[in-house]
Amino acid sequence: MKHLFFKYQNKRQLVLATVGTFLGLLFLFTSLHFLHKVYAYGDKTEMLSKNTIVVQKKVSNASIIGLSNSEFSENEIKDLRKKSFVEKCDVIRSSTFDVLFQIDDPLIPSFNSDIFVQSVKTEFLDVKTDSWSWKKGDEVVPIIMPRDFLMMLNNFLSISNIPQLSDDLVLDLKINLKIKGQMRREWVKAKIVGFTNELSSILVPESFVLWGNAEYGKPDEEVISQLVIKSKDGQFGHLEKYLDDNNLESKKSQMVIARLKSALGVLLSLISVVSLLTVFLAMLVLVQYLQLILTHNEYEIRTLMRLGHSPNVLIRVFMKYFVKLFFIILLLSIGLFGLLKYYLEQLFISGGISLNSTISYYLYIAIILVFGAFTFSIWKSSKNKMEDTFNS
Amino acid sequence: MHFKFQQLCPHVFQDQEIESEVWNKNFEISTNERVLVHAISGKGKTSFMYYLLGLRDDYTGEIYINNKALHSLSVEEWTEIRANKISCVFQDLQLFDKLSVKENFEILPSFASSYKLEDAKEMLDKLDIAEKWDSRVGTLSFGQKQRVALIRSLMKPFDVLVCDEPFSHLDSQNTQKCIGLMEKRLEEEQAGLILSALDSKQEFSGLKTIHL
Repeated sequence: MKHLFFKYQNKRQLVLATVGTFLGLLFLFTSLHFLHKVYAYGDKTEMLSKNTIVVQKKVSNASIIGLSNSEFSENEIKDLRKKSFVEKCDVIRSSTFDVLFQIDDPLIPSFNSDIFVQSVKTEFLDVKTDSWSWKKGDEVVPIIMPRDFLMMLNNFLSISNIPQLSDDLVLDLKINLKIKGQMRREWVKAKIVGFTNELSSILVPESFVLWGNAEYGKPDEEVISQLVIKSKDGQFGHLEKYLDDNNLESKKSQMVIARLKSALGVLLSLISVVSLLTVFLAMLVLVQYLQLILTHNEYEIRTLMRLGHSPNVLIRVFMKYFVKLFFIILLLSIGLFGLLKYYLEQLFISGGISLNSTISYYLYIAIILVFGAFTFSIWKSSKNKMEDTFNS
Repeated sequence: MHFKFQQLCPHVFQDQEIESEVWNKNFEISTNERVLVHAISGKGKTSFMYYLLGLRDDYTGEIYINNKALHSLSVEEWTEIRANKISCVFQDLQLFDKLSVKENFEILPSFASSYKLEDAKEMLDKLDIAEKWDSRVGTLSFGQKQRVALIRSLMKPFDVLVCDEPFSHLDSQNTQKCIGLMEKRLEEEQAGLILSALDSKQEFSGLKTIHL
């Protein structure tokens, strides 16, 4: 029967369908694998975390002489929160009390510096820690340092001929904070719990700033001059335009990174969509070829059933042929994917991106799903044809 | 295999007054009965055969096979009937032109018990076309194809042999040889025959004629 159905078919159509399916599967596997790996790499390196930027009003001569206000009003904050491209927006709260930062650790020489601390809500932090809370009576205040600060500190240590500090060492340092008000002062213990790349302030929990401001601060100095904004995926361009239109500014390097992250996110989404289309097209090409074969063989199918062949037997003949063909194409495309993967990984390494080289489990899922969907399509198309032809 | 016909009439004849022993009549064809359905062209011989085989349903009335209405038969029941109960020579033969004569026999779902592929070759020999065994059917004349189609129908197991003008392109000598083979197989299978022909003089034994 295989001989009857397939021997006299146009081989060029078979070759075209096979090549189409092969290329489709190859692109699907390659894009799925690398999408997964690039996403994983992006997550690990914060390349694909949401864009979080700190904004403030542009400083102008007018603001220096007090003619314009650098403070954000309630209405301005509400307006920003309503924007479609803003996922979250909140104030950055600053301390209005004086803080002296002191490293009190036998590992390194004593180090003192006046600092000021700020706080943002936990959801804006790019640091994962369980210790980010403080309430009155707690012995230790958690601190998140800007990574730039650690680099500055290490520069200072280097110049002073003192060994530099690693991340792990810094996380173990004993730190004291001297909090000073107009009349009173108090020492509290502190501990660095992480480093931020996105915010350039020394951060403490909001409850600590509120407590400090109430106990030691100057209430008339409590102003909101900075906001932290998290933009929605792929909408950073709208936020950027809003900042321009409203005379707001952010750190330039932060803006560049945000633009890059936004572009990468859009690009990866685009590849995801193209991959999905490819699955559909790859299967469609071969299913279309089956439809063609079924139509060409309508007389043969009808006559065989008139001679007493069961429709199920005929369905099995088509299933066996196409599933076997698809399986061979699948194996070939997996083989070539292996080679392509090797060369693309070398390319990524040359570009400074070291991806995990284990095969993505997305690929196994895709193979099972594509094979299942294809087998079902072949069965369904053959069954429909047999049913249509049976009593004709 | 027993057939019962109740007020059977093709849609095309519904508004016509027709003289027929088949259309709009109640009658039966019993197991092992040999029937010649005789009519001139255009009276619906092929339609009648197709109705019997469940290949068309453009009619009113009802046909019963072994007391079961034709339209109520499932795909599995039809497959069993077409494979083992009814064997057929179609007027347009329904051979596979792309395949060889041998392959046209090999493609049958099953052979009659005690029959093998070599028996088909022997029958071809009796009908003087044994040398066509490996030829593609598409290269044969219509008369040769008619003999191949007849042998194909005889190679299957059957309770009734349905033949739609099976000798239309055969000379009287070949017709006689074919009738001889058919008689032998009908005897072996203890089967009935439903034969349609333009000519009412068919040399089968015990043939009852019904005028369409």
